[in-house]
Amino acid sequence: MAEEKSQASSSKMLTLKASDGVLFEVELNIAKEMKTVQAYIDDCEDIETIPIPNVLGKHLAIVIEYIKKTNEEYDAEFEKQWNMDDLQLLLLAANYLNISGLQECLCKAIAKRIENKSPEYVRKVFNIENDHSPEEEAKLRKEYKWAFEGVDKD
Amino acid sequence: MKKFVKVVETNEEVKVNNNSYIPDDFSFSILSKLPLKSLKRFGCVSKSWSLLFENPHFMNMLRNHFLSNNHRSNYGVTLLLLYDNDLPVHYTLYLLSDDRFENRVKLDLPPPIQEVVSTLYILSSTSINGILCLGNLRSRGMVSIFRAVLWNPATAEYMFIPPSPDEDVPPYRDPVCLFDGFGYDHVRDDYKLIRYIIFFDLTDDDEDVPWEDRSYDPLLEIYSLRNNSWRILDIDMRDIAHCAYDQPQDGAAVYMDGVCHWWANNDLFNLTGILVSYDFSNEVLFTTPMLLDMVESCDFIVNRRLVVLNESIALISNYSKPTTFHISILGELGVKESWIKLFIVGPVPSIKCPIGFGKKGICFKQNNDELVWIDINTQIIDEIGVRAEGYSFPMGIYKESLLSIGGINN
Repeated sequence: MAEEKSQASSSKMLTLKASDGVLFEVELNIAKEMKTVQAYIDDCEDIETIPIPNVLGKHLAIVIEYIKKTNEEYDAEFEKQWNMDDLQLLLLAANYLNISGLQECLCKAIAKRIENKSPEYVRKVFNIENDHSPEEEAKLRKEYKWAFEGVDKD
Repeated sequence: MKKFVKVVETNEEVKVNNNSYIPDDFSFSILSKLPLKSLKRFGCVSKSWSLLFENPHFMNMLRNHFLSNNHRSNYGVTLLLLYDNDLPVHYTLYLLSDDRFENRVKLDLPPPIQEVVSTLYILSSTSINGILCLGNLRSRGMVSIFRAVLWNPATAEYMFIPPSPDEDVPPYRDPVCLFDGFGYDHVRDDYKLIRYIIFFDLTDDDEDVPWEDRSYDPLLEIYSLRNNSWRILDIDMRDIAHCAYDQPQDGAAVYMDGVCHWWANNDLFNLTGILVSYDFSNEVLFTTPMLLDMVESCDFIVNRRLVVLNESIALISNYSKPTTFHISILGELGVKESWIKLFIVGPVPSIKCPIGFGKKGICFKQNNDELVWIDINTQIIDEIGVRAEGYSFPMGIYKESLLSIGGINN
């Protein structure tokens, strides 16, 4: 099997089975927050469904919600702290160190930062040269005029 | 330094440069998380970026993000109203906290509604600050009597909304509600209902009221919880008067950010239509027409339905021969050029209509009333084992809050 892209593996799904048979499909990175589950995965690599014999479905649901909530709140706070240069360098670091959860978080943060920016700003961020002819660019700007409203000043 | 973003993702080495920049591998990952408006603007960045929407790999990432982001944990849980034909006929309301129907939790309806067998629906298919508005239509002869109840499931508090005095039927006319919705006015911190009523002449008319004194004018009325009363809106309705609407009980209304939306078909073949929107805070009714080139001229359109998807308005168009569903997202409210096609599902001959969106797929009702999931990447149909008889209520959203209804209505 071809090696998964690091950002794709953060959305790989795993099934957890509670003691009363209730099934939960969770992202791998959520499941791995539970060290017990991590250990199980370490022992049997190809497992798809992991039994959680000591926890009722009702409680497992709450635990999973908590982990998810922690991730999102943390991510939202995390992204506010860093300027664009830091975000870019962090992404390079996360890529090198192969931390998929952090990569996903940084991609979301960068997306949020550039959402309302101009094409010129974005070219600098991605270090891309404009290969449109002036006519082509003018045509695009005209066709998608509505997309240029409310853009942040650079 | 010249650098092009590669259209095909590869596992290439990242070159570390004096200038920090985004490695190519991450471009798509970042771009797929942007709103459609930003993506269209960034088409100006470079040639390959102007072709993003034609790149199948990118579009897969974009579609997957749209669906997964739609189900963020703070968004709320899925609400599903099911009607069961088995005697005694009954409605059951369920909460689904993830896509697993087998984990569904039954929510008890307010006591006066529990035994209802006549048409029941959830206005706007969503809770607003934890409050749901249930609509009920009971037949009395040739007329439908409407009543609504505001309900907070978390506190079990409910309140019936007084009937509108203007909908009351003088003997010579029969009211029909073309569309209705439940919304929130954030300027006045008020919860409101809107109803658009047209009137038909009853054939066995009352001779006592002379023609000059009769009124068959349609009316647009608003209920305010703060005032606990209805009033008629004086708004020009020419744009919307001669259109065809899905019935309110089909879950035709969608609500987002203080605005209710409905789809109005303005020709017999459902080819062209208008998005009708009502802003509860500004009390403005506005329309956004559809571009004619959204129509593939030889196709027969069965129906169109609006949904809210990832904080955008989406239009699901059901084509037949063969049965396919095209889902377009409105990039910017009010801008008719900003409809962007994002998903195509099908051909799927066994499918009747869409019900809702999950994390990785779309829930549909089949012709045999069975509900199924269709994975948007593989188009594989997965049976759920649940039947949805009667009306095809769309999935709604419920987010719990302990807000008191009585506290607003003083």
